Amino acid sequence: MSVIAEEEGAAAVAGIASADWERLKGVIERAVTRVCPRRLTAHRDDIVQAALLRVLDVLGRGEHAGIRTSSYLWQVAYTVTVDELRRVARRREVSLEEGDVIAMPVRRVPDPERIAEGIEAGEAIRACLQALARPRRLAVALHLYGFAAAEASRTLGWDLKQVHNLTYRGLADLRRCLASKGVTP
Amino acid sequence: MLGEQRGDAVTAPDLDLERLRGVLGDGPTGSSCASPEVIWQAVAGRLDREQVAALLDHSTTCGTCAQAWMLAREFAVEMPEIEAPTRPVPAYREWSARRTLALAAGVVLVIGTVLLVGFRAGFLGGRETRVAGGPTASPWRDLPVEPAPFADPGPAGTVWRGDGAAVAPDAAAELRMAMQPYGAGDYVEAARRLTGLLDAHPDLHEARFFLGVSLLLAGREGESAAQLDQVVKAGGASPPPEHRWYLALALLKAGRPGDALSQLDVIVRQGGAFASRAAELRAQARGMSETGT
Repeated sequence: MSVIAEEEGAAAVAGIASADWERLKGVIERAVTRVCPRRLTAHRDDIVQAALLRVLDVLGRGEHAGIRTSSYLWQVAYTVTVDELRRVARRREVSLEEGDVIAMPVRRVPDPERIAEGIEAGEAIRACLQALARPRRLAVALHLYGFAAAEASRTLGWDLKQVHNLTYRGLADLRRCLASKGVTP
Repeated sequence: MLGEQRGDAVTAPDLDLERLRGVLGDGPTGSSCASPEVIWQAVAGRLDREQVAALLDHSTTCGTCAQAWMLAREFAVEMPEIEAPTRPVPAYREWSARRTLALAAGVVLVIGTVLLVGFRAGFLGGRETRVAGGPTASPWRDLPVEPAPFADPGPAGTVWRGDGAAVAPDAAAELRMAMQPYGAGDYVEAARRLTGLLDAHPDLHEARFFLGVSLLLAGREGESAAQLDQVVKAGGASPPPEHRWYLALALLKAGRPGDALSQLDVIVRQGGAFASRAAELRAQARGMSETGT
């Protein structure tokens, strides 16, 4: 029996009509397709399957009320994607520790010098972020994660002007710190 | 030039932000990472400031958590704000009588809601805040809530039922297990486990209180208020002020300031650890009622 047939069977057991299951599946597929990071492109189908299994698990426990909205399904898609990111990262780290060769497409093997530069830059950025005053560090972190000032203001519960100032000053500190470590930001 | 501030954007022309993001996301994975559900709650603005700050602090040293934050933001931006609910319905939904009943129930619900809103508006002199798009949208929704401390009784500790009797040791152990995600800030999971525990031990007073608090911290204010109301009622004439305090917060956030004020009045009158905070919150709530904001 294929995985899809198994899912559909489980969906039937959970009391979901085929059309509803298709709609639910469609929402998860759309969410994963839109936001799946490039490094997980090859895992996209696995992520969708894992998200559907998680939804089935909730349905199987009779918690139908939890699956009321698309936003819930997006949350499941997000959760499963992050789990997969962490799993891939852990596997990569373990492989590197054990000295395994990671199979990569030939064209995508990066230049060892660039890898070293990247690691060095990463360490410098993390060290410089840690050196920032905490409020500036939090504002800069959200800025680096792509949050607009208004979004950061809502997430941190701070005044918008305060977020602007902290981000601006934090970025200036970060730039100075990176320059002092010889890293071109 | 270091950077410029323009409108909502803070730009730093000398910093290659894309590169910085890539490098941060490629960092080593830290230990004790929060679950993705917790990061989702943080981005949704459902955690208090200190919890968000702690998660962000960790993310600056952990590559996968940094990526989880970037991804959460992308999901939040991409997620359709208004999309038709995707509710799995039973396979026998084609039954027309069932549909008719559902329609009738819907009509009753709408009429009930209209009457309820009308009643509450009258009760508050028509000054209760209403926001377009939701009859009871609360201006208190973003009010930060601190998690209630859970004193783990330990393996030999005692957990009490609502009537004051000690519960069986296995139920106490189950409560400790159920409270583990609460300690880690995963309130959605804590609520799920506590609900399961209460199915088996409906008299477990402490579990119901923490279920109410978990629901409140997970942004499910209406359900939280229902659970905490039961807890307060089970406490008899003088339930602990802490129980009333969290009920008042849930009621405020659920858009029921009139009911919240009643609870705050009692806390202030009784005195104790929450009295001054309750008085402060009561003054704010009254101020908002008076100004209509």
